[in-house]
Formats: sequence, C-alpha cells, structure tokens
Amino acid sequence: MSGSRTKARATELEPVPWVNAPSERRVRAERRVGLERRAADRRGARRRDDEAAAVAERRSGERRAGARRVAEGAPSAAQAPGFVERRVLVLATLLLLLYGLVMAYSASTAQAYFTYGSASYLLLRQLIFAFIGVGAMVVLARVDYAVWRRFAGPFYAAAGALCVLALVPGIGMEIRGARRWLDVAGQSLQPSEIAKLAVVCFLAATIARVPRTLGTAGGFVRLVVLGVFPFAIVVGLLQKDLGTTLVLCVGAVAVLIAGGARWRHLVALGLAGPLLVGALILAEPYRMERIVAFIDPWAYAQTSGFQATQSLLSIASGRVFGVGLGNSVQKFGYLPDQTTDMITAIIGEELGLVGLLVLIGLYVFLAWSAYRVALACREPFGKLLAVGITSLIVGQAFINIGAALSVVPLTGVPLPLVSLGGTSLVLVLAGIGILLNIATNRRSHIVVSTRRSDGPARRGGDRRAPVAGAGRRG
Amino acid sequence: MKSRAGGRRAAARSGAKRRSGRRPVARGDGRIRLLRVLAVVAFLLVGGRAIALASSAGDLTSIAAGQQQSTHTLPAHRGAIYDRDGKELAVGEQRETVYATPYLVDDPYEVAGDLCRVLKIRSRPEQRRIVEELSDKGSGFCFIARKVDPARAARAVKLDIPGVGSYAEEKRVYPLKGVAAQVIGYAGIDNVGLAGVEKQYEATLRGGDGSETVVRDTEGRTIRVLETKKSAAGSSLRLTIDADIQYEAEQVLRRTVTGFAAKAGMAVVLDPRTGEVLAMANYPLVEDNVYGAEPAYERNRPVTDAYEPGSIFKAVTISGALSDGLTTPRTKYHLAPTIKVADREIHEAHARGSVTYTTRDILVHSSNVGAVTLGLDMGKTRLLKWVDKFGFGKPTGIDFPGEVAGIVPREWSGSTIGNLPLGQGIAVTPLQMAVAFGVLANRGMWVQPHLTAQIDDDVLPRAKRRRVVTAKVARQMLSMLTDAVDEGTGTEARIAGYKVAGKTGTAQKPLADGSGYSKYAYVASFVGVMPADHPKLVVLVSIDEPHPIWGGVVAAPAVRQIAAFALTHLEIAP
Repeated sequence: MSGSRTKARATELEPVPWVNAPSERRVRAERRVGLERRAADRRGARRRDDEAAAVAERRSGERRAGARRVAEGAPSAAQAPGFVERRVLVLATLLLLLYGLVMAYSASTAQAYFTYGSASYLLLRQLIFAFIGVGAMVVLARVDYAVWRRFAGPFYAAAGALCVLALVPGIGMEIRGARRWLDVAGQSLQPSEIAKLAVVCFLAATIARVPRTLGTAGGFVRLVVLGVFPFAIVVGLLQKDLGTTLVLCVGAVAVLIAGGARWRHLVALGLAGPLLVGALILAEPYRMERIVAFIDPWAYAQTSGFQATQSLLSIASGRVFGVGLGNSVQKFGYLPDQTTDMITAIIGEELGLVGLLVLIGLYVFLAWSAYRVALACREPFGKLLAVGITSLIVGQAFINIGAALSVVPLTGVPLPLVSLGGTSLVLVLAGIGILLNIATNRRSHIVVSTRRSDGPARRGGDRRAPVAGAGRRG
Repeated sequence: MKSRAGGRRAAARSGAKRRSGRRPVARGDGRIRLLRVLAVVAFLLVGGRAIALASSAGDLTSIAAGQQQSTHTLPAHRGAIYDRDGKELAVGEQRETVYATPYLVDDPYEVAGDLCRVLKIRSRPEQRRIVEELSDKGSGFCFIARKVDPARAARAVKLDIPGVGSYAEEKRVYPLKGVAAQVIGYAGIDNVGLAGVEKQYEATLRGGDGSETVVRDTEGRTIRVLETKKSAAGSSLRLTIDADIQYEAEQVLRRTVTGFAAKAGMAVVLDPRTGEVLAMANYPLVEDNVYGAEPAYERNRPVTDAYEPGSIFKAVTISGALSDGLTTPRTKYHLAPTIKVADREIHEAHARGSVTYTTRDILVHSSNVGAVTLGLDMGKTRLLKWVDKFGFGKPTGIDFPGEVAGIVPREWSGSTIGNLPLGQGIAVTPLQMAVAFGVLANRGMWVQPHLTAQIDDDVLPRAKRRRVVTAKVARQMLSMLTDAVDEGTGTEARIAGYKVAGKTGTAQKPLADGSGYSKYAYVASFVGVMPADHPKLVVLVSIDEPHPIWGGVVAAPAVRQIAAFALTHLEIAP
C-alpha cells in the first residue's frame, strides 16, 4: 500500500495534465513529471502485484489482477472497473454481429445465387470474416493497448502507404470507377478502413504525448494538418470515398474534442468544412447532384436520388413489423448495394420499424458502453483512443442509418458489424477488441485505485465517490 | 476573452490542486459525455425518422408495390369448335410467346442473332424488326416471337439473356385445314374471334380471363405470386355442320367451278325438319385458314351476300298462288310465246310456240310467261305477302355474324310484276332460298336455320318455326318439283334410287350500273329436296358465271353429287 500512496501523492501534486495547457513551461514540467509518474505507475503496479495473495499471483492475468484489485475495495466483483462496460460492449457487439449475419444472409441470397450460383456463398464469406474479426477482437482485448501508442506513428505511415498504394494502377483494384481496394490473396482489402483506426490512434497518441499543444492555435492546426488532411486528401479526393472520409473526420474531431481542443478552433474547423465540401464538389460535379438529390430525392428518383428513394421505399414497405425475414423484394435488384451501404433499408423492409429500432437500440447500447469505457479510463491515451474508436463506429453507424432514412446525404459507408464486407467487419471488431482492453487494462484504472486506497484514510464519506465517477456514473 | 479564459484556467488549476485533480479529468469527461449525448441524440433522430416514415408509409408503400408488382392476365382456354359428330374444327393449342426487355439488352445485334437462330426466325424483315425493337432503350417490353413451339421457346429462354422470357399463350388451330373455313371464321393473334362462328360466339368461346399478380425482380423474374384469379375456360361449341358433307360440298364446288370456268360457287345443305345447316360451302376456299388473300371470298357468302335467284323463285310464286286458291296444279293456262308487261316483253328461256301448260308444267319447264301470268293473277299485295311469308327481305336469324336481309322491292314500277314472279328484281341469300325450299320440304313449316347444336353440355332448344303454307300445298309443290327433276329442267339432279324434288335457276346478273341485266353473266342455281316423299335434306348450289350458264347443266349435277354423298353418309333410306 505504500507504493500506492506514493503514486497517489504524485497524482495529487500534478493534476492529470492532458486537458488544460496553461503554459509551455508547465507543459515541459508536466511532461517530465508525467514520465516520472508513468515510471512510478509501473513500479507501483509491480509492487502491488508483489503484495497480492499467492493465489492471485498464480493466476495473474492482467485483467484478473485488475478485477481483484478493485474487489478489495468494492462491495462486489460486478463493480470491478470495466466489468459492466465490457459485458454490455461484448453483448451489443455480438448481437449486432449476429443481426448482421442474419440480415446480410437475407440480403445477399439473391445476389449470391445469381452471381455465384449458391445462395449462401456470401454468407459463408462473411462468416469467415466474422471468425477472423472475433479472433482479432479476442486477441486485441488481451494486448496491452499501450502498443498502439508506441506504434501509432508507424501504423499511421503504413496506413497512409496502403491508401496511396490502392491508387496505383495495377496494384489497386478498380471497382465501379473507384480505386479504393488492394488485392490481397484474392481478397479485396480496403486500406481506408485501416486508415480510420490509424488516424484516430495517431491523434490520440500525439495529444496524449503533448497535451498542451492542442490548446494553442498552432498546435491545433498542426494536428489537423498532420493527422487528418493527408487522409482526407487521399481517401476523399483521390479515392473519391466521401463516406469513409466523413467517418474518419467524425472520429478525428471526436478525439480533438475529447482531447481538449478549444471550441473556437473546432468552430473554425467546422466553418472550414463547407469550404472543403465545396472543393470536393468542384472536383466531382456529381456530388452536387447528390446534395440536391438529398434535399429532394423524389425529384431525382430516376437519377441521382434513385438509391435514396429506393431506400425509403424499402423501409416504408416494411411498415411496423416488416414483410418478414427473407421476404424483401427490394433486394432483388431494386435497391443498389443492398448488402452493404443499404443493409439498413433491407432491415427496415424485412423487419420493419421494430427491426430498425432494435438496430438503433443496439448501437445506442454500444455507444453508451463504449463511451463509458472512455470515461472510466483514467489514462489519457486510452481515453482518447477509446473516444476515437467509439466515435468511428458510432459515427459510421449514424451516417449509414441516416443515409438510408434520408437524414444525411448518401455517401456510401457500410453499417459497422452488420454490412457485408470483410475489411470493415474485421477492423471494427479489432477496434472493439482494443476498447475491451482499454476497459479492463489496469493502466486505465490506476488513478482510481490509488485514490480509493487513499480515500478512507482521509474521510469515509468520500469513499466511493471517485469510483462512481470513474466507473458507474460514466 | 483572453483574460476570462485565463482566469478560468487559474480557477481550474487551483480547484485541481484542492480536489486531487478531479476537475480537469471531469472536464475532459464532460466533453466525452457531450459526445455520448450527441451520439444518443443522433440515434434518437434517426429512430424518430424511422417512426415517422413507418407511420406515414402509405404512399411510399404503393409506389414500392407499383414498381415491384405486375399483374398480367391469364388468358382463358378458348372453347373448341366441333362438328356435329365431334370432329375438331377449331381448337386451342398450347404455345409459348417469347419476349424481351430492351433496356436490359446490351448488344441488340448479338441478342437478336442468338434468338433468331434458336427460334428459327429466318425472315429478314422480322429479324430487322427484332433488332430495331431491342435497340429502343426506353422500352421495357417487346415481342420476339409469338406463339411458338414450347420446346423452341424453352431453348430461347435457356440462353439466359437478361430480360428474355416467355409466357404461355394459346394458339387457335384448325385441324381440318380450311374445311368450313368461312363458316368457322377465325380468331386473331390475341385469340379474339374476328369472323364467322368464332366471332358470333366470342363471349361463349372466350371464357373468363384470370389474372395473376406477381412480385418481380428488376430483370422480370417472378419472385413470388401474390394473387391468382383463375381463368374460366370458354365453352365449347358443337356445330350442326357435318365436316364430311362440308368437305364433299367444297370439293364438288371446286370441281364444278373449275369444270365450268366459273368465278365462284356456293352450296348449302340443310335439314329442313330441324333447321340444322349440315354444310355451307364457299368456293374459292380459304386454304389452311390463311386469311387475307382474297377478302371478297373469305365471307360466308350464303349468309352475307344476296343475289337475284332467278327461276328458283318461281316455286315461291306458285306456292303462293296455290295457297291463295288462285290455281291448282292442274289448272291450265294458254301461254303465248312472250308476254308484255308494261314496257317489257318477257321471253321464255328457250323459245317455243304457243302452248297450253298446267301450273305443274309451268314449274316443270320453268316457263317465264307462265310464272308472270300467275303473278299477274296474284297481284302486288299477294305476291309481297308470300315473299314475306317465305322469309325473304329479312334475315333468317341464323347464328352467324353479318347476315344480310336481301332486297324486296316495295315501290313497284309497272314492270315489277313481270319480274318478281321469275325471281328478278329481288335479292335473296342462298340460305333464305334454301330455307324457303325447306318450308316445302317440311310440310309447310318454316324453321329457323342455325349452325350450333350444343354449347358444352347444353343441347340447344328446338329452332323457331312457323307455318307458311299448308301441308297440302307443300305436298303439291314437292310433287311438281319432283316432276321438274324427273322430266323437266333438273334431270341432271336425279339420284338413283331416290326421289328428288328440285328447281333450276339461271339468273341474269344485274349490271353494276343498275341499267339492266348482263347478257353474258349468269348465276346458275339448283335447289333439291330429297327424298321427295319424306324430305330429309335441302341442297342448294349456286355457281357464279359458269359456262354454259344453265342451272340444270351446271348446278343440278353438283347438287346431285353433294346430295348423293350426304344421303349415303347420313344413311338416309330412299
């Protein structure tokens, strides 16, 4: 316990430093102290483990140790840090995955049958990817997320390289006039999906390392220009993948917000957004049609508003309870991209409003528990990474469902965990694996546990408040 | 602004110091909570939109249904047409119609080439039409080939060209290849009766079309059937026509018309007791039921065309005179070689001197002067009365479309009384003439002629009938007409073993300009009733512009041949 006290003192002296950035001197000092603190963290952790019971020592998975540590001070194991979040997150993820497999099967049968001669061809493919993805999730849930901070830079560079590679004729696959895919052992791989994670990871790592710079205009601009612009240009302008760019921006902006960027900088960035959109429209005039078609899809029902109106028709045909699982008619060629970008519309048609609300409800659960992971995490990088990954998934889900309902313009992004598509599914599950690790990694709860052990010594009444603040209230 | 922010920061700093660093963490958490709330609000927004859409889906649902569903008719099986013995005259045969969806076709030439090869479409214009229609990208439907052999259509569909499909259709076929073609008429490509019995009984034969509402994919493949209204098969018809007699009549007409270098011929075989038409033949024939070559001869002219009957009509004049008691078969008349009526002089067909003829002789030798003499005795009113009673000037009411009434003069000129008794200046249909002789054959009873004996299982009720002359007059007439065959103008109609009654007619054709009669164009006719003492058949043959012109030479042998066959075929005892 003495080690813990040492740690706690350090924390008391130096407030967790990654939100406000008063001065450069302070930043440097804190960075120094921060490094010391991290060292102390490691020492403290080791010491606590030494002090733990022999039984616990023998079973010392990192996760178990964390849970036990909390159990010491908390009334029940259910209140172990990250326990509830992990449960809900895993549940929501698996339910969405299952939902997705069922719906992707239903939506893909016709296409699979007429194209590949077997109604279950695309389902089997998706099942394989689901296994790979769940495997990735399980593995990553056990990999200390600190790895992502250490390799954020290389990861970022590699993702960028892959995105550029996809543009190179001969290496990148061209599908429907767009070069977004790489051919990896006969499977198409979409590097922009990796890029989303890489950008979020890079931003989180940079902000966590140099927290105060985000508070300055120069630091903010540097971060945006370095972290977001390259991919916005490669993915958005060159790959013409507006949807993925949008999702990437949502994730990046979420990290910036949570990382403590000044509102006025964010507002300025928000104002720059329309300019960017204007530039994109100038680059590809068809996007103007998309936007006009978004405002009044029925006026362009046969041209640029086709997909939007067909989506609305699908959902409307489903009414409240849907036409029944597998009974969609729109999937027989009326609704383009019925297995990917438009899977929501098929859900609406087959399972009706009820199916849509269940879908949305599952995402709300996912969002709630995933943001709770971020809230519960006391460590800046983990917190920001959790916010970023969560926002990527949630933002993409919203853009997809919103597009199907004509709430947001159609940009063409898959519905995370649900749509057919290998890269997307594996990477979303991998992202959730990282979230799970953040939820239970002891690194995330060091502040909490020290404070709790410190609490009773000061005053009994405040005993559980920090725990609640970290775990339950979040 | 700057100072305020700075102050806040300072406060935060001091707060952080005071409360173990919770404040900054809490502020970062506040932003995450904000993101979380934003996410939830965003999902609530789409959820609300979904609810709004589901609760006002009506219009959209119908638009969706409109693009997904299509209703097509299930054509009813068209009732077959049989002859009196059940031989198939017209039946529906199952065929397939191959269609394409032009906007789904990428290469019209290639697709047209493949389809034409498989479907064996060899006609150049047809191939051109297919390419043209396939090239029309705005079109969603075009026929490739209608009503082709199902196996061939299956091969075309098997090519698996997007948008190419087939559906079942019935093709009307006429197994007897043109026998009774003008009577049966025909049904068009859409299986609607356009002529003849097919047209007359359209409603009966047609049945009730069903319909099927299906959900289709964008390539027109049926995904599922929503609603099926079964079609009700049309009723079948059994005609009174006897296909064998019909065939024989047509062949006899062919021989007669070609043998006497005539233009055309008609024949009617009637059962006088029932009004059943056993045969109604037209020459030229419509071979294989292929219509459109010679529309004038594709009508069923015994019903649709009226002509001046000539001497045959004398039977009507004399029946009337007998019925009115103005004469008896034995009443004698002194007849000059010619007789003058108003401005016109009536001659005999073969010049002779003055003779004394009984009424019987007048009929047997077909004396024009004698007939006019009787007509003059009767006068306009009586003559018209008998013309009307025998049913001339109005349709017989046979179940056949386009029947004409014929023309009976009501405003008479001075010479009309000298024309009408001979069958001039009046237009009748061959059927009316045959039915009039049917009156004499049926003991004075007029029976409405008809072509249909049975619809499905319903045997049609006995035909309408009415008395025209007494049985005695009818018997007297038949007796005289038998003599006409035995020793008069109609000797060529004699059939060994049977007593045949009959009357010849050799009518000048009126000129087209209405100025008078042709000196060269005649219609040769003969009506026979057989067996004369218990009549079962009336056979009329009328040959247009034969050479020679005489009914007794041209038409009487034709009647004999048809009647001889019919008597044998129907096993009618002498």
